[in-house]
Amino acid sequence: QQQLTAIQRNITYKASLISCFPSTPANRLPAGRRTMAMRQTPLTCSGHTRPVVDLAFSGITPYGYFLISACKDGKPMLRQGDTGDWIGTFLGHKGAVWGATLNTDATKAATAAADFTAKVWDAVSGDEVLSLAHKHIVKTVSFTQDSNCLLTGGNDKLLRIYDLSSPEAAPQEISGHTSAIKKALWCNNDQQILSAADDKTIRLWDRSSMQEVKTLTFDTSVSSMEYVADGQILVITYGKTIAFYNALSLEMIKTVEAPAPINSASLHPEKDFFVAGGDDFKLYKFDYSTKEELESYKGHFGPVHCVRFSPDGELYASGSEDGTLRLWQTAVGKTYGLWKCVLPGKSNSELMTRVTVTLMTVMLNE
Amino acid sequence: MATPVPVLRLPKGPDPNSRGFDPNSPRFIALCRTSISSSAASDTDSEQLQKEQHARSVLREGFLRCLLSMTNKKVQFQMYENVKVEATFGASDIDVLNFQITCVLLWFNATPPTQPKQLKTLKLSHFTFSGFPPSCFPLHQNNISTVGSEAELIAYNFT
Repeated sequence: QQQLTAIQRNITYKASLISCFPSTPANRLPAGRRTMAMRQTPLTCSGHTRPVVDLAFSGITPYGYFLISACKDGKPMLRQGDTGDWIGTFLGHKGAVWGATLNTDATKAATAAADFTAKVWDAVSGDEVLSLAHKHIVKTVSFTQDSNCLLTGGNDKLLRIYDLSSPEAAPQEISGHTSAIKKALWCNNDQQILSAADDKTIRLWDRSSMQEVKTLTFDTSVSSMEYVADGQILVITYGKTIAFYNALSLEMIKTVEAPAPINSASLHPEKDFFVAGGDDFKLYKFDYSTKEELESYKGHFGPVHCVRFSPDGELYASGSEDGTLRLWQTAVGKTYGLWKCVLPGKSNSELMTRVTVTLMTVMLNE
Repeated sequence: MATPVPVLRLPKGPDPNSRGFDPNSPRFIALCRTSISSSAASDTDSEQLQKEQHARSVLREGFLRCLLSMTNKKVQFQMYENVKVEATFGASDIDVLNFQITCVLLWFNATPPTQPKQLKTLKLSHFTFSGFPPSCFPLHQNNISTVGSEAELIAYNFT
């Protein structure tokens, strides 16, 4: 019994015990490796009427964690992160919203839109706090950790830093990119800035000097960028590639090739896995250490534009051209949020133990 | 083995009549500052609070009187992407995001519809209550700008 308990504890996603989730059939790995049937029922969050192009989680707060979605319908929405329950819609933009973010404690939100404004919102009341005019479409927004500064970037090729305690003051501007900026992030304790643009470069800037520190050049446009502060890892996607870089030195750590062009990827907080989604409508989960493709799920009815892990790593959210957000379990079959594994009868635990042992035996023999 | 239920329920979707941010939620109550400065103070000055409540009720009454005075008046809405809508203004105290209108005219509308419509104010630039004939027939082409995709009229049947 103790052995069985130990085995159960060690089972993670690899043993998809409860194969009761009506989703995609088994995926097969090359080179003789096989996974068990991978199915799960994502939580589908409806409400948007146009493609969802960006999403972001907050940190973990006393009220849970939260999720904001940017949508071409111009109405970014706030949701409870672990359930997908709608909390509110930020009303005010007059064009497609291309970027959205929350500060760590989810008290503030910021959005970037095609109406040439970036807006700061009270994420508790939903009120618009600031509207920051730009000279062109704004694509990306990012708070510093203390929420005192907001970084913006967009089609005017400039990075702007706004002091939110003095919003009437002119922002600091950083020029250098030769094409529209699609993503800009604070990094290295907000001492530096990373930006990705259509000029096929990612640039690292020093906050104090406002100077370019380093540049990465690619053969094709970078489709997404994520910064993982713990470990200083930069996750970049371009073409079918998911690449991991050291965020300080911009040295490449590793690259992984996906089966289809990828639009977004996200690294698990524990750096066990990463997930990616792209043009084939599917979500892929890979082992970060071995680069092995572990799972794939079809669910969206359009290309996946963005994917992010939750701050606790228990789920990941995807946004798609089909106008929905979907929440996916990291460990399929686990009771979490709205997912609850319910088995009939008192012999549940015994049944699960038997199934566990059987599956482990099969996997070990393989 | 019976099939387990994997999901307890679907995520709750948006409320079509509200922008959300429930003021009764624990998070809102704990984190949101009240708009009334005196109410926020730990020692509430009851006289100050009364004054503020009086001011709110005066503003509310003014808003309702304004709504009533606009009822059944002809109104021209200038919307984004150079879209103009002519209609008869209704009185609906829903929220500031929506106006109720009837006898709606767009450039392609040969026959004015009779059902009340709901106009989303987010698409509005401005509106005026003067300067066009009371007739419900379409105006000349040169008075109507090109219809753009941003004009939204949602049929709302009052039955």
